[in-house]
Order: sequence, then C-alpha cells, then structure tokens
Amino acid sequence: MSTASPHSSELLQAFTAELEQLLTQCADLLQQTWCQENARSLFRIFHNIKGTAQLLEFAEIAQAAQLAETLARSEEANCETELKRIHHYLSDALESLHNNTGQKKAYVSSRAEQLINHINRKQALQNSEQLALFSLVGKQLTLLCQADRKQQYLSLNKLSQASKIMDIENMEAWLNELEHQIDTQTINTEKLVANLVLHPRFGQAFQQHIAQESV
Amino acid sequence: MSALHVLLVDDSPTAALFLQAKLDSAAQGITELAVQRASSGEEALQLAEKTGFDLAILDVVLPGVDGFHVCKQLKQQRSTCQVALLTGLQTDADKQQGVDAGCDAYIIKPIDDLRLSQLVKLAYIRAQTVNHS
Repeated sequence: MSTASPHSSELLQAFTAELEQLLTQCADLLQQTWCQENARSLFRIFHNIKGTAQLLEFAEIAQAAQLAETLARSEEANCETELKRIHHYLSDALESLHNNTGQKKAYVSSRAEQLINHINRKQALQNSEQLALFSLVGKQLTLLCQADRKQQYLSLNKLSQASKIMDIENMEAWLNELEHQIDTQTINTEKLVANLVLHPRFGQAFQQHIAQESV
Repeated sequence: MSALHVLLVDDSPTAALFLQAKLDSAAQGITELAVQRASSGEEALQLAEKTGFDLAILDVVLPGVDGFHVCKQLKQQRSTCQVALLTGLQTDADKQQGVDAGCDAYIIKPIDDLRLSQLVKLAYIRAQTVNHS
C-alpha cells in the first residue's frame, strides 16, 4: 500500500510515534502552572494532532484534538481541566493504536463521543449564561436613566453578581465606573456602552445585544 | 528541464511524509521533483538561502516563526517561487494574513490530489518560463 494512502503501515507507525511524543509534551505542559505561553504550546500540539489525525482519517481523534485546540487557543485557565480530560482520552486512543484491537477501538470511540458531548454541553451552557448577561446589561442600561437612585444601585448589584457568576473577566473597572456615575448622579450611558464594546473578548457581543435592547 | 525544486515545511513528520508521497504521485507524468523538507520556519529559510525553490508548501502553525513569515521572506528572496500555505486555520482573519503575506494559494487541509497536481503544474510552467527568459 503506497505511503500516500492514509492506511499505509509506514504512515500509521509514524503517526503513532508522533502522537506519543506530542502527548508526552502535552503531559509536561499540563503539569506546569497554567500560563499563556503554555496555552500557545498546547494549541500547537493539538493543532498538529488534529492535522495528522485528519490525514489518516482518525475522525474521533481529530475531533477531540480540534476541541482541545479551540480551548487552548482561548488561553483561559478554566480550560485546563477539559484539556486534561482530552489528553487522557488521546492517551487511550494511542494505547489502542499500539494494541490495535477492535474492542479497544470501539471503547475509545464511545468514550470520545461522551467526552465531546460533555464538553459541548458545558460550552453551550456557558454561552447561554454569557448571552443572558449581555441581555441583562442591555436592559439595565436602558433602565438606568429612568430609574431612581435606589433602583440604579439594584441594577449595579445585579450586573456585578451576574458578571461574577458568569465568569466574565475585565468587568471590575466598568462596574466601578457605573458605581461612580450612580454616586454622583452623572449617568452617562454612552460612555458606559463605549467602554463595554472595548471588552477584549466580548466587546462585539455586548455591542450587538445592547443594540438589540435599544431597538 | 531539470527537476522542480520543492520545499515542504511541516513540523509534523507524519504530515510531511504523507505530503511528500502525495506530491510524488501528483508530479508523475509532469516533472521530476527534488524535494527538501524543513520542520521549522528557520530551517526553511536557511534551506531557501542555498536553493532557489520553484514551489514551497508551508504549514502555517510552526514552532518559532510561522508560515506567514516564511511566505513573506520566500517571496522577497525569489518572487518566482510559488508559495502555497497549507493549513487547518480557516478564519477570515487567517486567510487575510495569508493574502497579506503574498501567498499564491491558501489551502485548507486536507489538500486533494487535483489541487496538488495543479500546484505542481503551475510551478513547473512558471519555472520553465523563468528558465527560458
């Protein structure tokens, strides 16, 4: 069978050896304290695994690696647990390649499906929670100008709680600005919105939802 | 006509092996190939200083300098070199980076045989034109 075929033994051997090396690098990085540089290295590793798994038509491995690649690219510390889980799955997949037994492959496939469903559900939940915050911000900003001071403080409290629960980073300065405006009764929603849309990760989402709420 | 000089840049040995086999297959009946492989951007640029490549197929995500940087440098050194970026990065921003780097083709993995064949043919025709001028 030519080397150009995804199932050639030469390619399979090369892939198995490469996967082993990459997973060892991955394990070392996941044992260290999470930092941006390590996240970037992990991104490269999973990107590589994804690429070669796709070439050799290992769909489950490629899919798991793609998930991990996306998580690592986000560079968020709370992805670490999921990355460790994916690493564990890929190590199982590697063992399956070494052993090359049909039963083990089926087990690894079903575990992959469970893993991917779990991560997708968690991400969907996180996305919907974050959407709820954007919507809440939009509504509260609309109400701020019409509300009395007591209502304004209640709004501030709601927004503060929501951003903590939904784990939206970089909101403290904005919340402090809002509090200052309420204290001095100098509500300036334009300024508040302008600052929100500068949010490094969710700027666009805020802009979109605030625009929707004001329609 | 001498062999077509091809540079393959990928830090995955498996991907490079696979791609080389595909290239050999794609070039059959068109031209002989002289393929050199690099596993990093720096290594690729060092090879390019010694060899005038007719075709370069670059992965984008590389340790050290990325494929975009290598593409820019290769085009500056030798504008007749056909440079194809072969990558899993699919966002519009990534594609724009490829265009800005001056690539002749931005191909999302996996590359199909027809596309590869077209790349080889184009590089061959261009190299012939350069040699005869």
